[in-house]
Amino acid sequence: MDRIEALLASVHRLAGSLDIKKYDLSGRVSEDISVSVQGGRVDQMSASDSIVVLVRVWHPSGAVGVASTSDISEGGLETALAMAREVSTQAPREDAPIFSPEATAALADVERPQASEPVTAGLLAETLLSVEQRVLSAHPAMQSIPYNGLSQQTTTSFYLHSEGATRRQKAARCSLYLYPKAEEVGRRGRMGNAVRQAASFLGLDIDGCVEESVQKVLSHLDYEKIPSGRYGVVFSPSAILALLGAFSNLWNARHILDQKSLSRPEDIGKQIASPCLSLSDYPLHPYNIRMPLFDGEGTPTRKTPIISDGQLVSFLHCANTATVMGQPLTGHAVVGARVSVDAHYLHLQRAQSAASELSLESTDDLVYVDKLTALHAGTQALQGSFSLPFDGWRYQRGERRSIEAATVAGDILPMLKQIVHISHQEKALPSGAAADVWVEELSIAGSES
Amino acid sequence: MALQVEIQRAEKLAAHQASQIYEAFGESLRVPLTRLLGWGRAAGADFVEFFLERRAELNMAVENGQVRSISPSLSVGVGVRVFRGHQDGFVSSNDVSWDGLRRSLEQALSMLGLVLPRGGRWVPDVALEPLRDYAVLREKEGWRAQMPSIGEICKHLLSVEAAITKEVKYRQFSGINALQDWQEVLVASSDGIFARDIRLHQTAAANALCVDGAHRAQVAEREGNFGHPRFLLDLDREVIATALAERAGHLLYADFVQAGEYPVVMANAFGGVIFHEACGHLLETTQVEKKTTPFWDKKGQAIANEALTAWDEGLSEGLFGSLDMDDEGMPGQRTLLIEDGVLRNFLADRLGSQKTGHPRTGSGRRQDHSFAAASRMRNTYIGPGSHTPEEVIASVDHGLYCKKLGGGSVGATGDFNFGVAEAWLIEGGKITRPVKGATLIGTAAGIMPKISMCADDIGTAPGFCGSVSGRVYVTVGQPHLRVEQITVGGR
Repeated sequence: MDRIEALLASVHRLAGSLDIKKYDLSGRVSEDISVSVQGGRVDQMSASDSIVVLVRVWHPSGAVGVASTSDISEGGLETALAMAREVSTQAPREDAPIFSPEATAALADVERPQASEPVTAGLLAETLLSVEQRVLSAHPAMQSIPYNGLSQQTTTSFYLHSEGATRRQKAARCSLYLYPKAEEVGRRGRMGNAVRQAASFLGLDIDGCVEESVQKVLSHLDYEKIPSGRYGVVFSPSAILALLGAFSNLWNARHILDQKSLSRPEDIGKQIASPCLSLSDYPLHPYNIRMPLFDGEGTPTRKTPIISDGQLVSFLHCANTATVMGQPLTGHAVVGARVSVDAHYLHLQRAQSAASELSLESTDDLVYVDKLTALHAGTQALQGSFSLPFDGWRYQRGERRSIEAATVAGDILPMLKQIVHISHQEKALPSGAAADVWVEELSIAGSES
Repeated sequence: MALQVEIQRAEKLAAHQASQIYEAFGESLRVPLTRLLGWGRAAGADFVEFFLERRAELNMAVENGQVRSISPSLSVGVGVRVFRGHQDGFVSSNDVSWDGLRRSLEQALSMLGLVLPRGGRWVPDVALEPLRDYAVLREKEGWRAQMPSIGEICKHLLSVEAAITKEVKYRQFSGINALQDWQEVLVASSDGIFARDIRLHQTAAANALCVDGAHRAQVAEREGNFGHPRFLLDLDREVIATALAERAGHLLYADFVQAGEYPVVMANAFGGVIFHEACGHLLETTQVEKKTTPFWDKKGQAIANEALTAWDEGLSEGLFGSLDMDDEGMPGQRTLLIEDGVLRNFLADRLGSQKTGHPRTGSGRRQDHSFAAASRMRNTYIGPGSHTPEEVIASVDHGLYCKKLGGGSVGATGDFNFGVAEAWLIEGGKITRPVKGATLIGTAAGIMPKISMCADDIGTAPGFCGSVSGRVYVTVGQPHLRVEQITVGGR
């Protein structure tokens, strides 16, 4: 019996002894190992072995109490169950969670990336030191890589409930991130970044990460100020995914029901974006390393179209919101005190009907937003507005030059309708997959001092 | 043979005492930890540290007149850190049994190429100081018993939310989220530190969304406290509701601010987030050691306008960032950062101090046991000046009054940014009309000399700070102050 089987058996037994009839249990066991380096030396090596368990107990009235714990001793689990039962006596009955009707349905049969054997901290350190050397020797202006890391993580997620559901999934992930800094005499320090993930250490695109981080930071060395004004704007795949993520209340059924959204239940079928845009959540996308087979309630995940040809076609649901809104389950539950909803892996595509053709090289004057920062500070998710600092370039008559410091501002709903073009070439990132997205015009504020 | 028996007996005793860990962190851990620390040193480590943590959190949410969620969370864990030269290995685990502690130590040592001494070898224990127990010294043991019940808290939160519903016009949604975070920590390290503390942080954030046709305003207010068990019952419903109603009323129909360069007056209290982001982070040794701060070699030199003096400390009663000891067992300190514009001190944790040579300042902090401690801010504020707030505002002919700031961030190049939650135009030395959508951007080195006037009305506000060692509780603060020029992102 392994650790998780022993845990599940303990919970079954303890629930019986506490006379708890209806309950469920979800959680995650993780093992991580990571390193960072600085100036040719290992800066830190760390490892963690963690577990978190969340139990929910149904009161006979239908109300649900919840408690989480990282103490999986017999005493710790008993305390958590007893606490959840106690909370269930004070929890709201309205809108109470339910077992997913699909918690015992068959999971998707997909080919998942092969995870390699665990690697040692020593191998990770050796690799990252060599990466640092390559980056720093790429150009005389390269100073350091202030933020860097190479890590491997294995995670086992599980879910069970008192009526027989049992889910379990193991996943592995290896990540490399590099944020090198370059500086020339009398000029501002500039940074770039690149991130790569793979299911195994051997599958990690280290060369690609080095090359991208170096190219980006070097491209920002030759920078200039940009006058404030209205510009055509192109968002990179990572920038548009970050922006859409900040406004995910648009398709989050929980937020819509709670009136904490820019959308309303009756908005299904409404044209909310340019016809050239299609967006789906695609948890089983071949490039999604995590590739979750079930959500927090045990519901199988699946591809869910959200926007098709600019039209809002579906919200993302947990079991409760799908029932309340009379819509199909989508497998997006995130279990906590209140079941919430979240996307797994957004996939933004050019709609099949789109016919526009634009290129950066042939444009007169536009701004390419490569990386948005401070989204937590610069987005008003319920007002629909944003004003965000970014790293990027200005393209003028085919020539590209880095922008010293600027913000891009707008309103998400009008912006979605002002999308004039989506590139053909998609890029798969750890957070999702997307192509460059062209917006007719947005406000750019440049630094004049 | 006698030695072997003694070793076995000591190991059994250590394991037995570690099994009592849930009773309380304290003397029962002395034997197992002295043994493990001794093993770590004997393995060749320069320094070994155990950080044990037990935590009970309670999150509650009330929305639109209903209790939406009640969520208790319990956690226990250990972080083991081993230094050898300037290199360190860190391991965290939820397993605080004797075997778990030993395994974590073994793994941390192995990262540095070290192995535990072979069984049967005599290893001297590390002598720990008498337990320095701030929970006892500062009478914190009784806090849990004094904390109100879930029912009492929910009832009060419902009354606060009802007041918001009554006061705020065009309300589509309103809610209040509350957090109680009780934490017990114990630090034992091979330099003899043996210290225990209990912390209690509580915070409540009220928010509302107002909608009138195409006009929308999202407003929020946060209060926070350290060490007052019944804090959540003391939330003043009228004050919170009135603040939200006034701000929503101002912002609902406000125009977007025009992007450009402005002289800016920052309001007191949460306005201090500008100093936190633009300068405070750059005075942490995590930045100094990487030379990612423009101030890394500026100690003793002027880095700011002479009108500016700033502190970071952990001693103020009740403030969110206060701590009796840091997460490396060092007693709370007060640190003068900048005096009349001159950089006096950096904020240093143990490793940061080793790497940079700057003295430790009781600033080693971490979100929880899964993070290694790093130099972090506590209660950080700009000291008061000699002007009145009215004089500061009247000194600006055409500029921006940032009455309420949002969050922000700073990068490794020193570029900072933060959102403005409530801004007003200043015209002819007077505050005239509200504007929205402002973001302030700049560089730390650029803005510090531009803080040219400080008023005499220092105020503080609670907040959260996310950085290399996770999310920690902090206070920001300042009086009203004038910045000569700053870039404002807008429309």
